[in-house]
Amino acid sequence: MDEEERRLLDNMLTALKDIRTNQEKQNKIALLDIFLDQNRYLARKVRAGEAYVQPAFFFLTVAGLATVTFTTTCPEGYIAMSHVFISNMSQSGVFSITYSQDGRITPFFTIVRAVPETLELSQLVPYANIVLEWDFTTIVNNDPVQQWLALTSIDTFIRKEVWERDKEELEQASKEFRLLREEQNG
Amino acid sequence: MADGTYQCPDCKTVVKVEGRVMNIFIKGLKGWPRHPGCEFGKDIDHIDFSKLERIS
Repeated sequence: MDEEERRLLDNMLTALKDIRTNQEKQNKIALLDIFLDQNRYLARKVRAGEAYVQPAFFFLTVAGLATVTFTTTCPEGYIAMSHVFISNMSQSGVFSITYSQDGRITPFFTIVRAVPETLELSQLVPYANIVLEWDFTTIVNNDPVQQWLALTSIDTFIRKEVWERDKEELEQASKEFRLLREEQNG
Repeated sequence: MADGTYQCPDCKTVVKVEGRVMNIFIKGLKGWPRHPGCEFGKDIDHIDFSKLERIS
């Protein structure tokens, strides 16, 4: 084997190594992408038996100019993540709804005049809607006559220790994901 | 208005009534009303407080 052939082989070997490295990075990006998607993450936890899904349905008849508040505490040893929030009511614009979590300074959301709507929380604000211990909902009927309100929320309860462990891994994953994406783009 | 804290004799849900405000406390399983015929499922003007257990 002459010098030229050796050089060509070295170049080919380097190119193959580069391809392999890039493939590994792409595989990792694909895996992290799944991990960073809240719905996929929760589906994995449910499959593994580390979490369970709990749809909740509320139907309230609220007297004219009356208020109903809900203080909901998570089951012992669990935290909650909400996927979807759906509201419907007897009349648009008569209810005010405020929703707070775990003593945050500002409410998670405040709806001054509620209308029928669906909020895909896991898509719109992934991992932002976590209840560690309790949440608090205030519902005010601003109308002088009785009105009804129907609310649906689909929550997943995850074991607290599982979430504590995964939270750190998620943080690490998001850093790695950012770095890998930058390398790919570069 | 019957201000005070009440408990449903069937589902044991606790509700604190203050004027025209009903404060409901739920642990674990979400949803409302808790069962068919629950007195707390009515609006505050139609609740029969005599059917509930007064806690305080």
